Amino acid sequence: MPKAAQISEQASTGKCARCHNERLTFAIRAEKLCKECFVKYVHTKVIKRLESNKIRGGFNEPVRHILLALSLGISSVSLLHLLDTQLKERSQQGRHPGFVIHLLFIDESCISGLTSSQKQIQTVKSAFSAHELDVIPLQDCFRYGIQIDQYSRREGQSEDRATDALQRLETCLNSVSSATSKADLIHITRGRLIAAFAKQKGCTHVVYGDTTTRLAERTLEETAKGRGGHLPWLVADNVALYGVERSYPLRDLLRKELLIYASIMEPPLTLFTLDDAEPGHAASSKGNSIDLMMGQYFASVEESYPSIVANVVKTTAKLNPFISAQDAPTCDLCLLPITSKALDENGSNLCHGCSQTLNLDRRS
Amino acid sequence: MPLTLCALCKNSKALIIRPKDHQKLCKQCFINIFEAEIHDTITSNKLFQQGERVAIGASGGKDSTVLASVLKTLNERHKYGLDLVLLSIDEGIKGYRDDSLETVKRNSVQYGLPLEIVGYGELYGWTMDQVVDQIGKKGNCTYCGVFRRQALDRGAARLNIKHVVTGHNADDLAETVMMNLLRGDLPRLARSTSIVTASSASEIKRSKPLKYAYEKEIVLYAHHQKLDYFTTECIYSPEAFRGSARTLIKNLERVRPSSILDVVKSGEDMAKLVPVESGGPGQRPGDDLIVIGAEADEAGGCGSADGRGSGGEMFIMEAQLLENEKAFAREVDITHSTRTFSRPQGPRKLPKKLPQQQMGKCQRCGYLSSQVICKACNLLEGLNKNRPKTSIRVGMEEAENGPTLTRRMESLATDVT
Repeated sequence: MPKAAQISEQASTGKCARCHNERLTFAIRAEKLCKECFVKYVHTKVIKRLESNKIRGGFNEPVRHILLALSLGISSVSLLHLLDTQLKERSQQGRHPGFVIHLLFIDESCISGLTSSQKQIQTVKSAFSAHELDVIPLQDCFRYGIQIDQYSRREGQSEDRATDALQRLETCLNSVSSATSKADLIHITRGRLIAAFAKQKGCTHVVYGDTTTRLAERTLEETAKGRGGHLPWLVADNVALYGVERSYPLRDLLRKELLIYASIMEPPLTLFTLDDAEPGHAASSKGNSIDLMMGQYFASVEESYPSIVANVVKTTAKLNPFISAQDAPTCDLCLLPITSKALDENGSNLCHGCSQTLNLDRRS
Repeated sequence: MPLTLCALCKNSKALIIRPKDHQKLCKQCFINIFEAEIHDTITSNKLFQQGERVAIGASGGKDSTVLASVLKTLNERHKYGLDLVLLSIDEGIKGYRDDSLETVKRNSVQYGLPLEIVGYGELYGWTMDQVVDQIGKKGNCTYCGVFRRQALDRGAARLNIKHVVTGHNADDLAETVMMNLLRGDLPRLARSTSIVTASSASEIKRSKPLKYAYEKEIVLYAHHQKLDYFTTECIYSPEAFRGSARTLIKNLERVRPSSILDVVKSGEDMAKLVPVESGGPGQRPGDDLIVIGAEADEAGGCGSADGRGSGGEMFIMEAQLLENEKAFAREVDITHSTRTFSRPQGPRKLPKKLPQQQMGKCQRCGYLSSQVICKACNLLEGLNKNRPKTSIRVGMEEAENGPTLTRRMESLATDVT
């Protein structure tokens, strides 16, 4: 991943392709843009998505409540900054805002052993004070009725409701064998918790900061985990998942573009980020996992072949979730349709990907 | 250190850790379970009918050798009643195919199966070595792929056989799934994982009984059964997309051994989600096995290690996508409602009768084709056009060394993945 030093290397003095002024320019895909035009380019890409996904309510329409899932990685922080800037601009122009954002940070420091997020949270809170920010720990999933240990608990462990939630989560996460499975389980729990929280807050949409690069990574990751049949629910826009619609307003921007954006803001957005929240899942940094590997792979593909990365995402978006999923039973863990015949060997009701993660069905 | 016993028979010493699930097995149990799983694939997908004549596409490599050996064993054990024949293609690649054909000839004797060899030279008048001399090392896999598909069909037709089995394994399929995702190729994604392809483009049905078998297990099986196979891979360049996908699959396998089958499973599930207009099976249930329009696969390369195109394929696609993006900004939407006909270009006498819209026969060679002239004949036309020129202008020595070196340099420059 390019660091700040590399980003400044990418900049050179030249003629901007849009405003034709001699300025310091950044090489963006096919053209070289100056700072102002580049920022406009980033904003346009995001606004287009907000509009086509009907996230911003129109004039005379009720204001939409959307939840922004903050991971304190560069992407979600940039998304927050972008949306915040737009809301400010609109209010200065005296226009209706169209939407209100709620921020949610899921605190996973207790299970992943990563740096505490306290300081960053305070910085974000003071810089973006117009938006409500909640922090809830991952183990709160049980309070929202998300029984992720439904299957792992079986192994001789009593279903003691009084057990400390953190301990219960830890036991569950330790029951899976690999770093990949652990990251996968955390990912599913996080997604369900965010949606449950959004519903409780009365939000109809959840927006994530995933970039094109991240979505391409996820496409291949989920494919590798046997969840190819669930891709439309996982990486497409406007598909209702867990009762709220999720979308990715940064889906048309590459990670490297966002890094430039974050670095040229005043102050640089890296002020708000947690170093280890990027890329993707923090917990996967322990031991080699599919997520980590895919992150490295796409970091290199993005360098030389950015359009191929974008093309993966565009292609996946064409997959139609409604062809095979109607009336299919849903998986107990990820709650997505079990599209092919259920693995009933253990009396479980799990999709292929989840049964691989929980490793109930060793031979499949 | 205590002796680890086989997890299945709990009798003999475990010698093999199964690549697929890390189960510790003894040699006999591994061989049994490997064969049993292929038997299961065959029966649950109803691949064969009693008394069917089946040609095994045999290259002499590990996959097809194991396929031939296992099929012969299972055919006798489970009384499939199959009449098996080995069918080999001689692409005419010196230092690769001539040696591997010797292996196939030995296999034919070892298994007591008749062998038929179809050569590019006799079919098309061009061996692959000659094609490479003419067009260089880039892009020659397209020729090889198109020629091979026809050659297999022709070989099968010559033997009066309607079913060809190939040695594609789980690793190959997983690679293809990833490759088609990277290339954004939905039509191919929709059909690449089907175990049987029957298409309007060919009267010959094809199937992949080793679809769920891990490459590593195939090698183990071949090793423990002491099978005689040929290990060298094709000497001409593998293409970038497949190479990239291949590395990815190997890394995935290292992190989580089940990934290979998980990718195949993902591929099967994704195929069901591909919209009909993109070549997907759509909502017709039961259609996912029979795939229509596999003709486009003609352009596919050989499944073993390399495929179509050149080392710079990813680079070319990147450039194309970038161009598209630029062009998109200049684009104006115009809807055009009339039907369009696509016909091959060039000065050529059209047949007296109007050509059929549906699958017809190639005007030149009679091979099934949706076009007036089939792909192989089109490629041949291009090759033949240039034939005299080169033989006059360049000496053999130069033709062999000159272009190769330049192209090697080129591919070094572009092939950074």
